[in-house]
Amino acid sequence: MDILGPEILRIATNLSVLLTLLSLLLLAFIIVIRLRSEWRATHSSRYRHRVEPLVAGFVTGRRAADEVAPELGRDPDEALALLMQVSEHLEPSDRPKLQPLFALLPVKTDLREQLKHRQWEKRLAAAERLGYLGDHGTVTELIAALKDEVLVVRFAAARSLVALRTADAVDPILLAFDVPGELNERRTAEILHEMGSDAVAPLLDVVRNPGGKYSESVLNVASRVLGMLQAKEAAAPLSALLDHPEFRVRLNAARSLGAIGDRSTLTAAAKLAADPSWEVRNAAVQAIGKLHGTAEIDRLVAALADSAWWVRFSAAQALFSLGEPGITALKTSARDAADRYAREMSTQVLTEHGALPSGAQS
Amino acid sequence: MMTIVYFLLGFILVYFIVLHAIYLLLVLVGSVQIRKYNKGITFAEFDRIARSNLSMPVSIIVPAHNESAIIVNTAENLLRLNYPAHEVIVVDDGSTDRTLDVLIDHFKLRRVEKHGPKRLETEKVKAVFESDEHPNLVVVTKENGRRADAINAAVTMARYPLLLVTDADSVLEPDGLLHMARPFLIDSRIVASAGVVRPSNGLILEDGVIVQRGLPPTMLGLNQEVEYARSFQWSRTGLCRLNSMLCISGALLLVKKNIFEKLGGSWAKAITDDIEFTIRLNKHIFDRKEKNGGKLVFTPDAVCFTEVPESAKLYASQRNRWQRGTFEALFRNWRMILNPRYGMTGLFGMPFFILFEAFAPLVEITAYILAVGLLVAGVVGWTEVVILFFLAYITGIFLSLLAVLLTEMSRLRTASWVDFWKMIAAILTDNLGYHQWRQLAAVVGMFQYFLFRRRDLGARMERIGEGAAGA
Repeated sequence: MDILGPEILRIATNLSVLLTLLSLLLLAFIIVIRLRSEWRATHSSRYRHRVEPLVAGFVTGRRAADEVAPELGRDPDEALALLMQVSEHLEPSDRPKLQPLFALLPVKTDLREQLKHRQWEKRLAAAERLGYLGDHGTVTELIAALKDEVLVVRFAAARSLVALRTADAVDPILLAFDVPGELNERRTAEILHEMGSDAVAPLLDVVRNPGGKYSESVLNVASRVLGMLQAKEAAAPLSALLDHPEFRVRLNAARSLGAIGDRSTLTAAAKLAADPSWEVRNAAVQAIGKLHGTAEIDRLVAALADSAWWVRFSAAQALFSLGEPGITALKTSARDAADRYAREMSTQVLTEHGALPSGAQS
Repeated sequence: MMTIVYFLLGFILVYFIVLHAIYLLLVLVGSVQIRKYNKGITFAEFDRIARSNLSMPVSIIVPAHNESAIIVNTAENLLRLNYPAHEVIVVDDGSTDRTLDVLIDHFKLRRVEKHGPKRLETEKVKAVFESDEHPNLVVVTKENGRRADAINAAVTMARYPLLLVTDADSVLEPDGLLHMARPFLIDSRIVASAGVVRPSNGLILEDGVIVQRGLPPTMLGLNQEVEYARSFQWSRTGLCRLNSMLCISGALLLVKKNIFEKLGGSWAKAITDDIEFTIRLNKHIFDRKEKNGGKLVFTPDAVCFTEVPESAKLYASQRNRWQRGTFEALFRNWRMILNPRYGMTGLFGMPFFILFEAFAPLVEITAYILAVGLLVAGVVGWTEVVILFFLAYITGIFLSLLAVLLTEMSRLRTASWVDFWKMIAAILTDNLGYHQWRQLAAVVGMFQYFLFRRRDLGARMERIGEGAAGA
């Protein structure tokens, strides 16, 4: 007894009692949480089971908005979540059909105010919901939200502006995410791509004025989205960017020209197969493949001996995609190329596609 | 003699108080982090990642040694993941069973000539196979090395900028990869993300897809369920926030390929390559002199299920190996300990890991021995011993309940009330033998590491087999 001392034992006993009580309380709390979660899940499931067919009926024109309105008003938060989910599952062109139902929800004013809330989570929720509500009257607030200090809020605002199909928002969106880094460029391109053909005109303005107010990062995003949208009218301005001093601009231009598929740009794109940057060379040989550049087979064969693995790989894949003449060139390279890596890569791609007998079969 | 006993008792008491104070801190930090994470997810965000052509493609790496019973289901599970662009690279690491044959038969593989972009030193690769039915499946067969060697061989073949390293006995939820990859699409500084690992014993799969979640059938399995919940639900989340997550499970690691290669890949001789690699990764990121930069993240809603041992012998063997691997990894990177050059990682993470993870089993077993000794010598009575052990017992229960609370607030909550009460039962019984058994196995491992220089990988897991959990 002495060794521990009465104080320590008393403290240990009191602590044990306290922790036992706390554990019991915690267990009770967990049970309450679990019951509440179950109740919520059941409520949500029942509500959706009841309202989802009504919403589907409205989208297909079998029901009027008046028939759906009472159910939506019964639980506006649940209704908003349901409509957002249905909207996500619709084709972008069908989404405006839901606007009359969104308009019935009594949440718009709250959301506008919420965009200025001090908690970023609230601002984020508001920014993303406003896009679904389809009210063009909120464009000004959403453009203002593009300057939010939290990046995810800015992205949510941009998505909502894109959902509203506001071509005027393209420029503010490009400038709001004018931060160096491939990742931001990707995300901005992803968002603007969702706007579809409405984004083409403002993006063309950007690529036609490369030395203007836009940074290289903005130029990259514009090039990339035009490629993703396969905007034929962008072929000429993008070809002009192939001589740009910044390698990432050349890279994105070459990549987009391949995606657009305008064969008149083949010669210009193929020249980049000798670019000092391996990433640009890689994009160039890929573009040759996509543009069906049989006239550039020699350039592709030369790229099989490139110092970068990815360029060799893309060149071999591009040759294969050209059909018979490309495959013949690959077979010749696999057999006779002086460069060991060119032989290796040619064999690899030919066996991958089953065009060369492989070793042991299953 | 009594001076030593006094010193030991004092040390154990202080150790116990400090350890649990840190645990409470981790619970607080962890729960704040989880809340912040959940709030940051925007509506339909994962659907957008799944649809986007710009999501970063992922190479999934599965090292497999004698896994013929489960490898087909694992590969099927990974091929069916909901992700816009991913490839699965299975490495048959010199298996002596039918691992390669079952893969060839099931996926109708054919041999190809294949060389990757970069070559890491590995044991000899014997052949590479691909499937016409699954163009994103690659199977590599090589001479036997350790798990790390197989991972390195797969990296050689990997084409994509992100690598997901998993185990042959692991099963991912269909959206698991979307959740793991999301941080990389948000923040370019992130170099690696870790996810939650849970026991797969109790899962029901059909064609590699999880159709029903359940808990392990045995009490030992259930206790590991609780242990994993504690470890992943708040401990790692909190440690990650404190730049001190020094162990990312090898069952679920997503890492940028260029960083993996820059670090020279996994250390092929490691007993536990995941711990060793994580420590080196931390060293690389948090080195204030080199200023490499980067961030590690813990993704609390990316879940991977992995088979846990349900026999006491295999369980002891696994813990023995983990303990030896922990010491090996720590000593290999000992320069980080208390070194301000590595910031919080050096000043808190490494000392915490060595004192409260690596040496915790030794301290605990010493406490038991001391208690018995003092009881036998008549220095203390039963009442004192019972009070102190009850305090340790109830503290453990309280911390485990906190893990259950966080679990219940997430989508990982137990599927039914029966499972919930099973979890509670496991919490109540964990400290009545199971916990002591794993601590004893760890102490044995520690002595074998130091005294007998044991560096092997121990006994192999016996797989449950196809169709059932873990398969």
